[in-house]
Amino acid sequence: MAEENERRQQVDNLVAQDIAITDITMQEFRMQLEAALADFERRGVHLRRIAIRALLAYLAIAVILIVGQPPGAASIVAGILAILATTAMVVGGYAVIIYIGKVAPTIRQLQLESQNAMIAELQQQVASLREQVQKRP
Amino acid sequence: MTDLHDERRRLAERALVVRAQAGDRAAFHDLVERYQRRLTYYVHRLIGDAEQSRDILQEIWIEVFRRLAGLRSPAAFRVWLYRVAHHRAIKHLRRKGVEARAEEVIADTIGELVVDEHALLENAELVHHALGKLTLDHREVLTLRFLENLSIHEIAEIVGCSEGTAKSRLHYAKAAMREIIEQEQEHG
Repeated sequence: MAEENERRQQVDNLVAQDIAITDITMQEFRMQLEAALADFERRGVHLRRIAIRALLAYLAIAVILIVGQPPGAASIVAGILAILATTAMVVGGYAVIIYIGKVAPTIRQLQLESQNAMIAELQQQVASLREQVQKRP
Repeated sequence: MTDLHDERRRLAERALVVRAQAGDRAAFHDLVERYQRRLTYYVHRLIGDAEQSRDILQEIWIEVFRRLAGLRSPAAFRVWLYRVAHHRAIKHLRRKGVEARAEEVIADTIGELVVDEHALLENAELVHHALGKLTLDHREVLTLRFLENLSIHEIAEIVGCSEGTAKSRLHYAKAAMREIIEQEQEHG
C-alpha cells in the first residue's frame, strides 16, 4: 500500500513537471471538451431530423405521384416531383444506413451494458464491504 | 491490502465506464477527470507542442465518447484509451511528416543492464528532462510504463507491436534513461 502510494506520488510529481498541465489549462480544456461533445450530440440529433424529414417528404411525394396525377398527365410538375422524390430517397437512404450502421448497434450494446452496470456496481459494493470487514480489528 | 485497494479502484473505474457507456455524461466526465493529466502528459511527450497536444486530446476524447459504447470489456478501458491516443498522435505526426525514429541520441551500447524502475522515478524533474532526449518509440513505452504501470503485453497492445519488441524497447529505454540521468548528475 505504501509502495503504491509512493509510486502514485512519483507519477504525480512527474506529471507536474509538464508545462502543458496546469489547473487553468485543465479547466479550460474541460469546458472546450464539453462544448465539443454538445456539438457532436447536436449533429446527431440534426442527422436524425434530416432522415425523418427526407423520409416523410419522399412518402408525401410518392403519394402525390401515385394518387394525385390524372392518368397520362405528364407535366413539368410531375418531373420536378420525381426529382424531389429521388433526392429525398437518396438523403433518407443515407441517413438510414448511418442509423443502421452506427446508432442501432450502439443501442443494442447499451442494453447489454446496462445489465453489466448493475453487476459491476454490485461487485463494487462487495469489494467495498470486504475492505471494511478487513479493516475491523 | 494493496490488492484489495487496487481491485476496488478497478471495479470503481469499470462501473464508471459502464455508466458512461450507458450515456451517463457525469460518469464520462469522471473518466476524463481520472485520466486527463496522465493522458495529457503522454500525448504531450509524443507530439511535443502543447497547443497541438490539446487539440489532439480533444479529438481523442471525442473519439472515445463516440466509440465507448462499442467497447466490449469495460475492464479494457485503460489500454483502449491509450490505444486511441496512440493512433491519434501517430496519425498527427505522420500528417506533419515527423519521422518517429529520427532522433537517436543514445548509442547502441546499452547492453544488458538491469534498471530499477522505482529508483529511476525518484527524481521526477530529471526523468521528465531525460524522457525528452529519448527517441519517440522509447519515450512512448517508458511514459506508458511510468504513468500507468502497464504490463509488457498491454504496452505492446497500445503501440501495436509484438511483446518481444515492447520488452526490448522498454529495456533499452530504461537503460538509456539511466545513462542520461547519470550523465546529468555528473555534470551537476
